[in-house]
Amino acid sequence: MDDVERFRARLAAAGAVVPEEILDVVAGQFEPMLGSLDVLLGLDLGAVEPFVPARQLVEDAGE
Amino acid sequence: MSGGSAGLSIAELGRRLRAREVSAVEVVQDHLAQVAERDAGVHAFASVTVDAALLAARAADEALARGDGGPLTGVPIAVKDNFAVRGVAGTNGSPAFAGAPAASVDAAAVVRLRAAGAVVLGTTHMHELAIGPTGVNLALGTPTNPWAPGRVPGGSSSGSAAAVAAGLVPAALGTDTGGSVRVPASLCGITGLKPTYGRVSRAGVTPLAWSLDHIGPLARSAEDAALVLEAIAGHDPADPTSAHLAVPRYADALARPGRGVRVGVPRHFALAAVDGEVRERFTEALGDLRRAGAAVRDVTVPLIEQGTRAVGGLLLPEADGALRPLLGARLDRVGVEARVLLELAKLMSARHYLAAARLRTRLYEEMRTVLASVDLLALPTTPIPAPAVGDLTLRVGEASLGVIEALVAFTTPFNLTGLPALALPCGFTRAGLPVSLQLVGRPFAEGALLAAGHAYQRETGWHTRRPPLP
Repeated sequence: MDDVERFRARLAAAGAVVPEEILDVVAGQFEPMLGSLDVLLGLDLGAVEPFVPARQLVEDAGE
Repeated sequence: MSGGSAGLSIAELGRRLRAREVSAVEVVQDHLAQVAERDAGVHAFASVTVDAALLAARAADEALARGDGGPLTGVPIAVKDNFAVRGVAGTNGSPAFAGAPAASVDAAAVVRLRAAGAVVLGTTHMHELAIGPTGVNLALGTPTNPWAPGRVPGGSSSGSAAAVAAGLVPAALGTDTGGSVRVPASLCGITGLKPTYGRVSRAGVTPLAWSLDHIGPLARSAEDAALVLEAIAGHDPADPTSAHLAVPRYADALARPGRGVRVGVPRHFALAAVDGEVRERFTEALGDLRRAGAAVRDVTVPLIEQGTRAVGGLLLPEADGALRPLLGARLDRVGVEARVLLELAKLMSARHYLAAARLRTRLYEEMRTVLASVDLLALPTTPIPAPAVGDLTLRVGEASLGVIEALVAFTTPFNLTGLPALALPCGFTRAGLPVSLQLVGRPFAEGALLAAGHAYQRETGWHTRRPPLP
């Protein structure tokens, strides 16, 4: 399955609609990002909580 | 440049205003005349608030006559069209908001600008719904890149950058969720600051992604960016994410010497996939930093590349959550690019969002560790100069990259981590396209960041270059 077909299948599974006439362009722009996000799912990130910028950055404030 | 005071920096305008060499009304009239004469070619402004600007200018003159003028008193500033501006029917760059009522109150940052005596000249065009880095807007028009008509201005704060680069205003406000202040600053050859997350209240600004949205100034110099930041920064009860921290006098921080500043270069990332001329200008910029007294060395941030790619897992679901309820039935009137992005949000699972949010913690920890041994990070702001309008992919070295992916490759890590980042002009390609250096600081260390930028600009003068008049 090529990138465009994989992208089309993924859209259908999620119920997302992208106009057919621009499907290859959208796939070209975003399929790499989607692939990278899938890679994230397999990373061992250890015992870390989601980042909360409003809390963490204030705690570390300083020059 | 015609128009008397138009084209001057905020610092110089402020000096002349306080010395009563020129009145605020004259300054505002000069800038309004420039907009009237030249914005048809630049297409930066979505609205021009002539009557309100002249009223504010007269009030500024009264304050100056009393000796109450501050650095921004009487200085014209533009505001991206996703900030609420009293009396203006904002578009958010989208035809979906056509016919929306005018705002009855200002966004918090606009309130603070006005309280500092600045004169809001109007609102500026933008990438639709702020969800794109090119600035191309098929429905409402694409601002011209003053350095290169036919090339994109960068986005999403496209009109703000074009207005400053073209000399229509000395500074403008923008928003930055994945690079939307710094990318257009880079492509248009001006200075742009994304402050630390929480430094500036977002109340009254149309949200895109709550954990990534920042507000910052676009200006001609680090000095001018410091003056604007000082006016708009600070806690605001209306924005619970705004920090309870005192606002330093950023203009005073500019006096710090550049000598002894330790600059780390994540070379493994910053020079891995960049245009050849961007690489040359960036390398020269590192030399300029050394000449300004900085100690430059390589550093490693192992997760930075993966972090960049994680941003979609946060931005798209957050944008979907913010924009669909706001748009409601008007979603049908949104342009195809933004609608497609909101559709792509459906492909993001909770597992994607959580993994991206956790990776973000690890990336932040890495950067915090690196920033314990250096004062600043340095990398190009964008790995490419301004692409042509309509370009979708381009070759960078051996790689073929999507334009969107390329434009935000070096900016998104600092939306993820919330660290302050400053884009500074650092030269031109042989075709005359601006190239930009990005400096990144510790949390809430905008003073150190702006001081380093100011020292660099004293050393180089790239920020003083002006494009031919459009």
